[in-house]
Amino acid sequence: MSDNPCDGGRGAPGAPEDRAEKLVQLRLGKKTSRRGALKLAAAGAAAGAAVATAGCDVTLADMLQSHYTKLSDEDKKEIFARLEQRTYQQSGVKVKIGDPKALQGVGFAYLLNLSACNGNRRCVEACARENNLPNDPEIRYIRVLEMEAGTFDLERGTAYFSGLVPKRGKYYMPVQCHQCDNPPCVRACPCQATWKQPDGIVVVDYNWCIGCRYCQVACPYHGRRFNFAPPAIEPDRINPVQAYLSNRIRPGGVVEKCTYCLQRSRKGRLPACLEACPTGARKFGDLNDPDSDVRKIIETKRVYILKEELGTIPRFYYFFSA
Amino acid sequence: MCKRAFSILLIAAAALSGCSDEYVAPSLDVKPPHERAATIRARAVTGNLAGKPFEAHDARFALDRRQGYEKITIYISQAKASEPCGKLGPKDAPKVWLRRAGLKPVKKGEIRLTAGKEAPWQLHYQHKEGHHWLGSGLASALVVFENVSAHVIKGAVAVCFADGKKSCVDGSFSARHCPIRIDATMRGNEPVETVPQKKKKKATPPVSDAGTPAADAGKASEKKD
Repeated sequence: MSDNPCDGGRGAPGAPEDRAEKLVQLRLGKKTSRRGALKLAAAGAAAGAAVATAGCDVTLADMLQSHYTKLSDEDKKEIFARLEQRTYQQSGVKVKIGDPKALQGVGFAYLLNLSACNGNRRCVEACARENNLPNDPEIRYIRVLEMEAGTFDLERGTAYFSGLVPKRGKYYMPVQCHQCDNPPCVRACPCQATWKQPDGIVVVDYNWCIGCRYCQVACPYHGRRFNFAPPAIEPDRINPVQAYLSNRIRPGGVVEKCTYCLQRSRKGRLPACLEACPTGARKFGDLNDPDSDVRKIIETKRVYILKEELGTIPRFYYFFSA
Repeated sequence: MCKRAFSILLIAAAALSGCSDEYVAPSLDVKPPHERAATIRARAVTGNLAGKPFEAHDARFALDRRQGYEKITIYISQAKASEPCGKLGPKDAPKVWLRRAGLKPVKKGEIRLTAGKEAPWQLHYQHKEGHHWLGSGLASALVVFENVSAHVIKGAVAVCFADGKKSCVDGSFSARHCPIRIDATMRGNEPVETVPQKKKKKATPPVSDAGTPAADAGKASEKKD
C-alpha cells in the first residue's frame, strides 16, 4: 500500500507493512492477537455496513477518483453525471454541475466598506443559498464580526451577536476566505487538495480532500469550515446551478470555503453575497482592469488588509468610506 | 500482516460496493388521485408521503427575483407558523412544493403533470430521514389555480409521486406571499432592521422652547396623519 494518506492506496507501492502493524499496536496499547484481529475485522464490517446503509455518501467510484487536475474531460463528464444523478436520486432535484475555468488575465479582488456594513448578515444568507449550505447554521463561509468601535482587534470581535443592528458603539466586519496570493492553507495541505487558480481563487477538490483540517488550522482568517457530515439541504433550497470546485453538494468530512462564487464570477456575474448586500458595502471585480471599481477604490482610498504582517497577500481589502 | 491488510481491504471494498451509484428508476406509471378538479375535496392538503401521513398546516409562496434564479415556488408544509409568514416549525416537517422558473404571473386554470415528463411547473415533496433530506420530483398531478392575486394564490392539488412508496396527497391550499429575506423588494432602500422604540425616542430632537409638550404632541399627530 502507498505511504501517502491522500491517495487511498493508489500511490507507489512499497510502504513497510510492519510500520502499520506497529501503529495498530501503539493505538491499542498491545500486540494484536488473531482473535483480536478478527474482532477488529468484524467491527470494521459492521461499521462498513452501517456506512453503506446510511445513505452512501461515498462510493467506490468516489474513492478511486483521481485528483481534479489529472482528470480528462471524459472523466469529468462521467464524475459530474454521477454527482448529478446522486442528487437527483436522493432529493428529486435536477442539478447541473459545470466546471467554469479560471479566466485568463483576470485577478479577482474583493473590497469591503466597513463604514457601510451594518451587520445585517444578508450576505451570510445569500451565500448559504447560493453555495448549497445547510439551512441550520452549521457551516457558513462568511462570519460577520461585531467589533468594538475604535478597535481593530479581531480577538475582541464576536460572530455570535443577536438583536437589532447596528448597535451603538459597534461596527461590523465580515470575514471570509481572503483568496491569498501566498496562501498558508495551500502550503499546509498534505494532499494538494487545495490550490490557487490563475484568476486568484483558491479552490478545493472536495473528492481529494482527506479532511485532515491542516488547512483550517493554517488559515489566519478562519476562512475554512470543516463539515462533519454531508450537508443536509432541503431539496427546495438546492441551487441547481453548480460547479465542481465550488457550490456542488460536498461529501461529508471535508473542508469547505468561499470561492468568490466562481460559478457566477467566472461567468461575469457578481458573488451572491454582494448581490444581497442592501448597504452597498461590498465591491468585487478584476484588479487587473484599470477601470474596475475595485481598482479605483484601491487607488483612491486607504485600504487595509487583515494580518498584513503574516505576508499572506490577501485579495480581500477593507476600507472606510467615511 | 499482509493477510490482515488484505482482509481489511476486502471488507472495506465489500462495504463500499453496497454503495454503488446504480440507480434503479421507479416505475413512472402513477396517476393523480383525482382526474377532475371538482372531485378534489375542499380540505387542507392531506395524504401520505414516503409512507408517513401528511397534513398541511401552512401554505405560502415566494418569488425569487435574483438574476438568473428567477422562480416562483408555492410551499405546502406540515410545519406550523405562529403568525402569517412566520418561522415554520418543526424544521424537519415534510413539505410539498410547486415551482416554475421565471416570474410570469400565475394564471387561473388547471395544470396537469405526468411523472417523468418535462413541464414548466415542477411538483416535489421532501422529508427528512435521519440526517438526510430526501425527496421526489416525479409527480403525476392535477393542480388548479382558482384565485390568484399578488398576495394570495388559492387552489387545489391532487398528486401521486412515482417514488415506489405510493406517496399521494390531495386537498386545497391558500398560499400567502411571503417575501424571502434577501429579495430585492425586501432589501430596497428601507431600513435594514426596524429601529427600537427606545432608540427612536432618544433620537427625537428636544422640545423647542416655543412649543409646549401638548402642542408638540399635536404636531406629531398631524405628521402621522
